[in-house]
Parts: sequence; C-alpha cells; structure tokens
Amino acid sequence: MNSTEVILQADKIQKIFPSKEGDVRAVDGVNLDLISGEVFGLVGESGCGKSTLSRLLLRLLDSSGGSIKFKGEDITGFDKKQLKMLRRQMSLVFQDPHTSLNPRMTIYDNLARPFKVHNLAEGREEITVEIVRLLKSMGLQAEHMIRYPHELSGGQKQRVVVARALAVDPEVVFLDEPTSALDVSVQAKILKLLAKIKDEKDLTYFFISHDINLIRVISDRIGVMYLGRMVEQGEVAGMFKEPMHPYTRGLFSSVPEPTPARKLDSVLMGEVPSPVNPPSGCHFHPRCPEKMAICEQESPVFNYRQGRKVACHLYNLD
Amino acid sequence: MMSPILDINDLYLSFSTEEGELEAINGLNLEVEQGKIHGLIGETGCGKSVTGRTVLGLFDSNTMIKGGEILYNGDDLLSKTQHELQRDYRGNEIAMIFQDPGSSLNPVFKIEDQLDEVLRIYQPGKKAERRKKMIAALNAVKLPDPERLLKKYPHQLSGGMKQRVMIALNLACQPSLLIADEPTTALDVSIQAQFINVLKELQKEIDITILYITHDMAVVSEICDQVSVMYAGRIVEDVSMEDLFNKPVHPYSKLLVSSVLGPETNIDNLVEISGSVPRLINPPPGCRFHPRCEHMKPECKEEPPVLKEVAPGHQVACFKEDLS
Ligand SMILES: Nc1ncnc2c1ncn2[C@@H]1O[C@H](COP(=O)(O)OP(=O)(O)OP(=O)(O)O)[C@@H](O)[C@H]1O
Ligand SMILES: Nc1ncnc2c1ncn2[C@@H]1O[C@H](COP(=O)(O)OP(=O)(O)O)[C@@H](O)[C@H]1O
Ligand code: SF4
Ligand code: SF4
Ligand SMILES: [Mg+2]
Ligand SMILES: [Mg+2]
Repeated sequence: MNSTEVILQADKIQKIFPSKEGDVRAVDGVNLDLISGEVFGLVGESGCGKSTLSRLLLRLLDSSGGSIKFKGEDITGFDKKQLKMLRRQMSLVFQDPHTSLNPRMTIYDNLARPFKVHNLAEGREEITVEIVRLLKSMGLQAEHMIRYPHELSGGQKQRVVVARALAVDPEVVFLDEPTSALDVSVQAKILKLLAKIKDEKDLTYFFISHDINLIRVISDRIGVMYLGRMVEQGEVAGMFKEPMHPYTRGLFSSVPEPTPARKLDSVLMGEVPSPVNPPSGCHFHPRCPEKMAICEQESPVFNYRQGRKVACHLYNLD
Repeated sequence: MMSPILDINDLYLSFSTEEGELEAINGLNLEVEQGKIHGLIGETGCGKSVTGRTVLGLFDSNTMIKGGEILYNGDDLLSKTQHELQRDYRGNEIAMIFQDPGSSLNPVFKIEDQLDEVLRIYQPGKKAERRKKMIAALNAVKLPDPERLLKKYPHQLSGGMKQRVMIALNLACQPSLLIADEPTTALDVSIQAQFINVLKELQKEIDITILYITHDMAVVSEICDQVSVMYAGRIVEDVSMEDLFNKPVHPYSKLLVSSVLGPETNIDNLVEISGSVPRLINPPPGCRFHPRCEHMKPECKEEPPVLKEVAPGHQVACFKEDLS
C-alpha cells in the first residue's frame, strides 16, 4: 500500500430486494473504506451479499439507503452522464469467464466495445492498436483478436475478460470470483498477472472469493460478511493469526489446510439462514457457540478493537 | 496383501468426435483397496470423471472401449450388460455422487418418494421397513429431524442439505463402493467441512470404500488415505496421501503439490505451472506429460512409461533415473 488515502467509501449502505416471501435484506447497512492501492479481499458464505455489495459500490445497482463516496465525492445520486464517467474509473470482472464474453462476437469485437462507448480510441486502426497492446499486456497474442470465445481455453478467456475491464484504464477494479472456474495451474498465472498489472498501473482491487486460502495470498486487508452485514475487517496477517469474530473463526477453521498433519476439528455448524426475516439482534446468534443473552436482542455495533473492526458483543463488554 | 475391491487394468477408452478420435483413457491402471478413501486427482480434462462413470458403465453414446478390464471384487464389469449392471451393481454395490446435487434430485417429488423409489428396487414389500432404512440413512448423514425432512421437496432444502440427501440416497442400499465426483466443488467451505466430517465418520462406521475425485489438494490432505495422480488418461503416480505431500516423485505430482496455496504462500512465491493438459485428439506420443516436463529425454517421446514400484504402496510411471 502506497498511501492511506481512501478512494471509495460506503456509509451504512443498504439494498433491499422486494420478493414474494418478503423483503430480502441483501446488504444491510455496510460501512467500508477502500484504501487507494490496496487489495481488499471480501469473504463470506454464499448468499451473504458480497456480489450485491460490489454492484452497489460500482453503482450498477441503486441502493435502498446509505451513501457512497468516490474520492470524496458523493456518487449516490449520480445521473446517467456522471455514471458513464464513473464506469471509466471503476470496472468489474465477473464471476464466470464462460458467460461474461459475447459468444457470437470475436475477441476483437468484445474488446472494442469499451473503446467505442467511451470514445477512447477512434477508427478500426486506432482501436486495433489499443487491443493488441491490451492482449500483449495480458500475455495473449494479436492473433487471438480474430478468434471467438469458444476457441479459447478457460484461462485465456479469463484474461480477455480482465483485459476488457482494464480497457477503460480504471482506478478501481472489482474482481468477483475471477479464478473460481479455473484450474490451479491457470489460477496461479492469472493471480500473478493481476498483481503485476496492479503495480504497473497503481490500481486498487476489490476481490471476492470463496477460496479463503486464495484471499489470504492476494489481499492486504480483508472483510468478512455475514447475512448482509460486515462483521470483521482488518489486515490480512492479523486476521488469520487471530480472527476475533466467532463467524470469522468458524469460517477460517472450516478451511482445510493442504498439509497432511493438520485436520479440520471444530468447523462452522449450520447454514446461512434466509435474509428474509433474518435472526434478531446479531444475525449470527443461532450458529454462534459463544452466544449470550444480549445477542438475540441487540445488534452489535461495528467498532474498532485492537486495530480491527468487529461487530460482536464479546468485544463491547469492557 | 488383501485383494482390491476395484482393480482397473490397462483400460483404453476413446470418444469419436467430429475432429477425430479423442483418446480419453489411455492404459489406465488403478487399484482401490477395501475400506480406504482413495483420491483421484489431476487438472480438468485429465479423465477423472470419465473413469468414475466408466466403472458404473455410464457411457456417452460416442464411447468406444478399446481394451482392458474393470474388476469389481474379481468380476469384470466391462463384460456385463447394462441390465446386469443395473440389477446387480448400481446402487446396491457401487453408488455415485455427482458434482451438482440439485440436478440429481427430481424437483417434483418429495424426498421420501425419491428415497423410496431407490429402496423399492432392492427391498420390495413393506413400506414401513423401508421407511426405517430411510430414517437411518438420513441420520447417518447427520440431517436433523429426518421425519420432517422426508416430507419436503428438493427446492425447500439448501445446497448443503441436498448434498447430504444425495449421500443418504446413495447409502440407503448400503453399497460397498462409493464414487464421489467433485462432491463439494459447488459448496461453501462450511458445508464442505461438514460434508467431509460426515464422510469420514461414515467410512469408520460402515466400512465403505470411497473413490474420491477432486482437484482440490487441501481436500485430499483432509480425507484421503491413498491417492492416484492422473494425467491425460493415465495414472502417473499411486502413493499414500502423506508421501504425496512430503515426497512426490512424478514431475507432474510435484507440480500439483507445488501449486498448493498454503499459509506460507504469497503472491511472490506462488508457483506458476507452465503449460496445460494437451488435447487428447492426437495427444503427444510416449509420455503425454513430456511437453511440460523439465526432465524430458529422447525415450520419453517413444513409449509411455508404465507404473513401477518405487517403495511399498508407492508406484510411479516415469523414465527419470532418480525416482525419489
Ligand atoms: N435481484 C435480486 N432479487 C432478489 N434477491 C436477490 C437479488 N439479487 C440477490 N438477491 C439475494 O440477495 C442475497 C445476497 O446475494 P449475493 O449474490 O450478493 O450473494 P453473494 O455473497 O455474492 O453469494 P455467492 O457467494 O453465492 O456469489 C441472496 O440472498 C440473494 O438470493
Ligand atoms: N462424450 C464425450 N465426447 C467427447 N469427449 C469427451 C466426452 N466426455 C468426455 N470427453 C473428454 O474426455 C476428457 C476427459 O474428461 P473428464 O473425465 O470429464 O475430465 P476430468 O473429470 O478429469 O476433468 C476431456 O478431454 C473431455 O473433453
Ligand atoms: S454478538 Fe453474540 S451471537 Fe453475535 S457473534 Fe458475537 S457472541 Fe456470537
Ligand atoms: S517419462 Fe519423461 S517426460 Fe514423462 S514425466 Fe518422466 S521424465 Fe518427464
Ligand atoms: Mg456472488
Ligand atoms: Mg470432472
């Protein structure tokens, strides 16, 4: 991390989806500071609101409450024209490389779109120069331009997807499970490449993954989400050495270590309940081995504790 | 030594495709010992799933068996008809769990009806007797409140519960061999951990043998006793789980082990594996790994190396001089 300048900030951001069964509180009042130049890793079980949070921060989805600031400017009420500018500053790499490229268009046409939409290059010649430069920077060749997505391997496709996100020369890139569909061998290459590009271009990454071992490798700081809320946030080394929130502890202890001598012992029990009518007080209380009386009644506040931010009554009792 | 429950010898299997013959399984040798959790690992496209399905005789229509035998307790499954496989083996002797739990359960039937349908084949007669078995199977996979669960439809269950119902469905007929093909790939780590613990306990309690197909090395270290490393249609190393991690011998096994993300891994020391699994239409001759191998020598391109014992319970297929 080069500085501690906050590039993106969310304040009590919220997203409620109406549904037949009731309101889905997908993101339920999240506070977040993204620091310029960092890799922020976001973890949490499926359905905890990770993708929704990133789409809110990108302003691809309108929030139901709270505010978002990009470089100090409130972007919550941005209009179409302002959003178009914002799309050049923040971009997104999707969960699945197999569906995020248009299968009927060549790689050239897939990559040319952002250049055209944002008038970043004009005419076929200029765009071609830019695309070749992008492909090369991603370890691909110019000849890949004329291919269709199905002619590329999973790893090559994912490089094209990353290339497209970088076409607009953004400052913040959101990566939602960018390697989960890939083999370990391919995954390592993409991760190295992402790290290299980040250093060259001074980018900030917001990285979502189910793979907690992977998040540990690439992140500077991590956030843990449970049922729409941020429950813990801190520097990666400290978080793994001593996770504080009972959910973080359970989640981390459920990750198998790739060493023969270490076996799983106390794993996180139960499953994420429905975000329609979530449990009262601390959402985690039905699964928490350290639950106290207060936990069912009051939501814990997301507070600083020992250089960490934690939302748990265990740390509010002093 | 005990005779293995599953013993695959020199299996060759191809698919006919528009572009030509795809040689998916190419001289595969695999022995699974009774009562063990045996891992089958390798990158995507190495032939792990095809191997698993072939044991059960589940063939795609373009499949060509080119040779070999699959002995189950000494009987060659490849010589059986589909009818014999269905009647004598599938479900009651050998069961299989697939990657996507949702798609294997029928959405329009209650869990009870689906379990009963499987059980009825082997145990016609009183429903009440079968119901006891269902409850026992659901209890075995640690599903709470089995009575109520039987009344539910698949969409009312979470991914983790569906996966456990699938195992229950497979255990209901008490098979001796369970083939699990990437059963946790689509699941959260928490559900995966619960699933792993259920499998481990089951294996102790009911002495079932499990062939566990995965590409996740951390899962391998968690539950496997013995491991076969597969590359482009062949087993290249057969080794105890501990030795796979501590002293892998085959250059491909070494790559897989080095790619593991451990607590000490960071972005700088993260190992990049070069190359990828070759296309299996006109695959590289000789040792199929040779285009990616730093120990390659001229003879590697001529004949495929066969599995040789390098230590008790440890076999390697490689021409390298120093196999240690
Ligand atoms: N458009 C929508 N309408 C209704 N509910 C939605 C919608 N989008 C998401 N949700 C719900 O919001 C919650 C959070 O979903 P989200 O996709 O953000 O989770 P996630 O943490 O990214 O999960 P995963 O790890 O599986 O990708 C889930 O309960 C989901 O079903
Ligand atoms: N029905 C089929 N027709 C043609 N090729 C197939 C068919 N089924 C599998 N294959 C090919 O066989 C090889 C092995 O596949 P698979 O067993 O699914 O690999 P793994 O499970 O190790 O990822 C791959 O090259 C795959 O594309
Ligand atoms: S607030 Fe209470 S229930 Fe929630 S995590 Fe902390 S101790 Fe557990
Ligand atoms: S047989 Fe030759 S090419 Fe194959 S793994 Fe051994 S040394 Fe490498
Ligand atoms: Mg998501
Ligand atoms: Mg497979």
